[in-house]
Amino acid sequence: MNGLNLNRREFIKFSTLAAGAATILPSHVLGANAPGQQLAFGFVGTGGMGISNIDRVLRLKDKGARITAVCDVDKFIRERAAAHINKFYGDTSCGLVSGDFRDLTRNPKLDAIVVSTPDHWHALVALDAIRHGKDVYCEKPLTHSIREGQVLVAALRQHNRVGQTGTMQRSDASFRYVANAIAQGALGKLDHIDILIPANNKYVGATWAPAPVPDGLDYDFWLGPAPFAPYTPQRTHYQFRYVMDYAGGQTTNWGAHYIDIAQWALGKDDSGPVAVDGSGEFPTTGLFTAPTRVDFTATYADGVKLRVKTRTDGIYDGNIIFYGAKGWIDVSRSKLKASDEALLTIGGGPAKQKGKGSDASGIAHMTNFIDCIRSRERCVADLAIGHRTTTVCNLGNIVLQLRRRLQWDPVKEAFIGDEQANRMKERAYRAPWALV
Amino acid sequence: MADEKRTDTDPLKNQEPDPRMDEFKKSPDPWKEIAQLTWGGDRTHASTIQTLIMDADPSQYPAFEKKLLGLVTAHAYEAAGLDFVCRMLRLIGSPASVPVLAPLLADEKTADAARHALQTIPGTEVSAALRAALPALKGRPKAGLIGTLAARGDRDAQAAIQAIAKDPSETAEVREAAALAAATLGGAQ
Repeated sequence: MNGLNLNRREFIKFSTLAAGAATILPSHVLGANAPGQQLAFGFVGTGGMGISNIDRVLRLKDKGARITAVCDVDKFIRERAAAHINKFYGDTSCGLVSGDFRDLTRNPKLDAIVVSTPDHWHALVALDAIRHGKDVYCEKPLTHSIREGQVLVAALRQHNRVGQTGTMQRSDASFRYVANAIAQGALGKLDHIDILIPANNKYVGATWAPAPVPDGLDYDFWLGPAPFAPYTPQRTHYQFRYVMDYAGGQTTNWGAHYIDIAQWALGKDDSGPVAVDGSGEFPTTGLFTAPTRVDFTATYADGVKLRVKTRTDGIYDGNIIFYGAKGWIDVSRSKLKASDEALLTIGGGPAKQKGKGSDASGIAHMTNFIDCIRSRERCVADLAIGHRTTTVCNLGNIVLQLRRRLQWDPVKEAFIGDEQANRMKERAYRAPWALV
Repeated sequence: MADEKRTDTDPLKNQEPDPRMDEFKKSPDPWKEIAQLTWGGDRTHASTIQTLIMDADPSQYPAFEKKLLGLVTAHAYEAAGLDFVCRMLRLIGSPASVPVLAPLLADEKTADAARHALQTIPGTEVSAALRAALPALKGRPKAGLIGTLAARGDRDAQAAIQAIAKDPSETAEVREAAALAAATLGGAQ
């Protein structure tokens, strides 16, 4: 059954338009950024996610992308990344290896910057890159605070740069299919959406002790704009995401992926909900401060309710189920199900995608970024889209703390009648860093 | 229960006081404990106060603010304690916080915590105090303060910030922050 009576060609056409995907232009209409020209990439943050992104760009060598610079505040991590890149290329062309991102963001020889730092650094690095004429791929969640996102998007438009948020599920065939099917009304009037996000997968004790900073780590630079706190090993690599000074826990880590799909399907990429309520549980002591149990509901102007909950089944993946008048569709990285098989075959079903899972979508997402650098089109996860998705995540974390219903004005991007909540849209930076 | 409130049939009426009761009733006051928070120490008392503040009705804020400011004026705080107190003032502070927090802006060790609170507190008194702190600062704290003034959209600070951007005696870091802030404030007009 195809409730919309669309054939595959029409569906794909609609999907492409709805996603804002790049159009592959014939070479004769392209200018200085023609496909044959090498694009010089610099990577800021070369830990776990940074290396994943590096590998994606290495595998896209044939698209003319070449990594010539890496930066990390951890000397071991950046040198390991440079060696990995140079081994792949078989030369020493990745020659700029720095501990200061500004050596990359302000380098005229670079075209694009990929930001894979901890979240509290995303905005400042991306902003500096944009202001110095670079196109930017910035990992999700796009920013750490709502105000950071507003400043970043304004700069992106002012400087006319290309920006991709690292929400690579936007480039996944299954998620794309579902978001577009729902946007076209495959489920009829949408009623509600349920999202599950994983529970925290790292744990700490009730207290922690300051420790000597290891050789090679510029800890003052690692802290950057975050409030001062002494070094302790579990604060930095990976686990930073469970300390609210640097990230927003699983609400922003996984919420950024799955709320993004909801925003997309709802056609709210440039908007957001009008209210949010819920409550969460937070560690009352220890190093970690991010919520251990998340349960909040965002309500959109048309009445659709989006509920985000911590899953309890131990599966380390998110999940999203859309419920509408005509049935339901359930999608995650590992499955695609629906109340009626026909809902999964509209226009022939999800497009075929090279590779599997997040690896395939990661490659497709980076490909879209490179294509957009050349075409100057907006990316499928333009920074403005990433900002709106991240905002919903941040609304969630704010309501989990305040535990009262909050009204949100998605046009003014402000809470209505709640001064305390509005104060939580931003935070002062540790000197000398400034969000200006 | 006080003895005079007990009924005549209460078997505890007129009993000799149990000297152990004082020990049984001992309980730390989390409002005092939070100032003694140390890096890595148990945050339980701080979490109690944070929940209290997050759940409070706005009519309770002035009393809470007074308690928090009292901890600062007593100067009996650990660095992590001051950091926590200022995080709470960020949420509920008013211009009443200015006389207590503004002096902290002059000291690099306390300036970030003070700005953390003051940046989001509305009021012309707050803006005036931030502007007044600008001339005395150099280097990192000055760059941070410029960022706070820009974040507040304080156009009254624009002329001073523009002058800083052109002042060769300032560090490159401060001049750059000032140039960006001046442009931001100019764009806000």
